[in-house]
Amino acid sequence: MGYRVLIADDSPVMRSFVRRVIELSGFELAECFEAANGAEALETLRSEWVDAILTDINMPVVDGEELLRRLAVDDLLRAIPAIVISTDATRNRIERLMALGARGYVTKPFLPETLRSELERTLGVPCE
Amino acid sequence: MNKSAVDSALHESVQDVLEKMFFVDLLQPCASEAMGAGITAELSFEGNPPGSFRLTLDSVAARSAAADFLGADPGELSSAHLADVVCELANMICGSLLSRIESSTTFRLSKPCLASAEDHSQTGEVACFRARVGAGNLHAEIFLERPVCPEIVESAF
Repeated sequence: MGYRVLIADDSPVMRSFVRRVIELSGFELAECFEAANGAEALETLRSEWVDAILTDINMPVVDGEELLRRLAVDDLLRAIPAIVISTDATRNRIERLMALGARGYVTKPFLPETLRSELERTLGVPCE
Repeated sequence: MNKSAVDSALHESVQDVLEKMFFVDLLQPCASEAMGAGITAELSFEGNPPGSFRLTLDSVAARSAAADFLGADPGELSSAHLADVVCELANMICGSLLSRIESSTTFRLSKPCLASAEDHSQTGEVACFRARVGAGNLHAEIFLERPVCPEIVESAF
């Protein structure tokens, strides 16, 4: 048993890093999908169910804010928790994205255990 | 915020990013000296104040950082991998720095791009930090179009 996670980030090296950190953290990862922007993420979500979405903010085509807006108005996809991963740790930005529907926020730089605990919190995984 | 505070925030940001995301334990600040050939990434930002950020890693530091970041063998990494990692490192350090010095405003970063290490056309307030990363060197600079204004604290009086 493990969780299916979608990573949306326009940086291939950042997607690789996030995937590796999830694996290193000990999080129960069953399958990991990747998207280079919000549009690709939505396309993936049409064919694959995931348990959580990790998304960057600044992406081409459909950025992280627009992805959160589109998830929020979709009757099916709004149930999937989205966690923003960003370098922007300013209060205004965090409040804005949480108001748009983000369930969690991880600021870069982050430790593997921080990402794991935010994933487990949003998924309701009981603490060990 | 004065220049020494920005210098200090830059040092903290570089160290924080390298420790947490690149698993580099210790940064040794070093004196200004000529760097070998390397990779420079640059990005601009809108904020209060706006400005730009440049990061240069010599080839040894870039290869070492990319290997740590990607969990790969340094010998297997292509030039494109090194460039992507240096750009991502610049993005993270700049975002971390602006979150420290512009914490009460919203800023927006441009996408990092490769630049020439010799191109110093920026003007304004400058803070820089130079350090050893493994056997290589790193040089980070931030250019602010005007000094950072202190946050105005509302008082009941």
